[in-house]
Amino acid sequence: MAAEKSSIITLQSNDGVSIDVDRQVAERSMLIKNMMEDLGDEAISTAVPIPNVNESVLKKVIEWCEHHKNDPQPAQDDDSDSRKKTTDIEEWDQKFMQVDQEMLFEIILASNYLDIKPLLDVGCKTVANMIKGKSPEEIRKTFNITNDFTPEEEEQIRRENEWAEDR
Amino acid sequence: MSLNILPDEILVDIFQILGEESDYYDDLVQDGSLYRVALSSRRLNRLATPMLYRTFIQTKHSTLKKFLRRVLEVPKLRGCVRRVGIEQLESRVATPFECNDPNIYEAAIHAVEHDTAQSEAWIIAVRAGEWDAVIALLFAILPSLEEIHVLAWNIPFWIKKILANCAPGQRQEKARGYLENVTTMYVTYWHDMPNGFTLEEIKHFIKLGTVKSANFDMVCHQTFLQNQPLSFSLENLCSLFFDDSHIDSHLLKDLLRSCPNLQSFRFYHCGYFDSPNGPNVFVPQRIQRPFGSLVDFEVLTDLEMDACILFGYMAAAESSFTDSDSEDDEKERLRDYVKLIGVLPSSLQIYRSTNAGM
Repeated sequence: MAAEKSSIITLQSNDGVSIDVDRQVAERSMLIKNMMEDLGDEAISTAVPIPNVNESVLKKVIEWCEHHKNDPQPAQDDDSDSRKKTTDIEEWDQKFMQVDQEMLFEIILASNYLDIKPLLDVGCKTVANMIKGKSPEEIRKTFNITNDFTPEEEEQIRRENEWAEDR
Repeated sequence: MSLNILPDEILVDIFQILGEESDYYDDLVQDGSLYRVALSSRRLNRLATPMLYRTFIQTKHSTLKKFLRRVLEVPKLRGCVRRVGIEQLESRVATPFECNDPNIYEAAIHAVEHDTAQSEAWIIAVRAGEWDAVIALLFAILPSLEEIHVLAWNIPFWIKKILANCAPGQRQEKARGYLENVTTMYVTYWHDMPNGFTLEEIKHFIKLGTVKSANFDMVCHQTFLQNQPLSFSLENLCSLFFDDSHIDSHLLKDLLRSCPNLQSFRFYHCGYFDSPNGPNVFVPQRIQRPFGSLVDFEVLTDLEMDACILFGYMAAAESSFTDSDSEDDEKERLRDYVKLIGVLPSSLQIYRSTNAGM
């Protein structure tokens, strides 16, 4: 069992780059972990394609997994509210997430695809922190969102939710 | 690159984080982020609106009435609301509740109150904008409410009424469908007078049979129920927390006796040494069976108490329990801990003693 945990597996990004990773690190991804359990040693001898993730994002995700390889696995219960109740992010993760917006969204998408919930949480919390305190116009500008409301619709939404405005 | 690249479920996760940031009333502040997200674009509005309505925190009396009006007018929003925080302080001056169609709230009240005379009185009180009548109506139309935070100095009539309607075994046919999913209560006394809630008042909240976690800040010593067992059992209650409360130990014992499945009991900042039955009597080794010491709480895993209460320090001796590390103090402390052997349950995993109030 110990030998199995220390074995190396190869991940292949969608731009064709192969990256060798310690199995324990790769198994931060529940997708890979389940695949390894299903396929056993067969999977170790061939490169595992990660079709949705390019090399630079995959390397970044592996960097996170490497740093957190000894963390306890999160509970399978996806509805656990405790993980969502705060926007506090530990210092290393904060620094890790200091990337441009494209990379941030790519990390979120990759962690979602690879089923790495703690990384997905950190990504979501980072975006939540970026939204906090911003006006609708600032949110649109920050995240490149087009205002597709008519002025009348916007006014109506403002009126309907005005209980939330008096903060 | 746009935020729109993220799929719906991830955006919903992000908005949920924005909407659920704190546990205690003092920190319960919606900073308006979700409101502003909902104004950003049609897609973000569609995804953020249910999250926006998950939590309502009353900051002014006007926000309460605006929120009630909205959920009355759009019934599908009612099922989104999970957590409500209400505040009596802003309610001293009632202003009339205005609604485009008064039939909406009149019909809503008739739908949940079986007694016609009571319904009429409730309608009049809501029309006048009375805080507790408005709150009671809000509670009565939110089927998925899970968590209630109350910041108040008493529990007024209409709130008591709606809670009483839902007490186990007393639920009327028309009272089915509301306050059925409430699992968490935070009740905080807040007034310039240092009275605290009476146990009689908080009883209205904990009697809701579904509550698993009850948290009270400032409950005062009262004589009700003394030497009488409570007439109900709180079998669902797993977590009970009193902060800054002055409760007669006999009453506390009565209350605990009603909670056979308690897993977490926190009782701190609760020094009250002027009463012969103050909590200093609530020393586990002094509690006699059949109530039993805490040892009979076989599922209790988490206990937190003021050291002075747990070890029975009297007021005069309080000063001796300091952070001093002299050898004598250490020996005394060890003797105290030995006293706990056999009086705390073997299930206990976390034990903390607090030096609060010294």
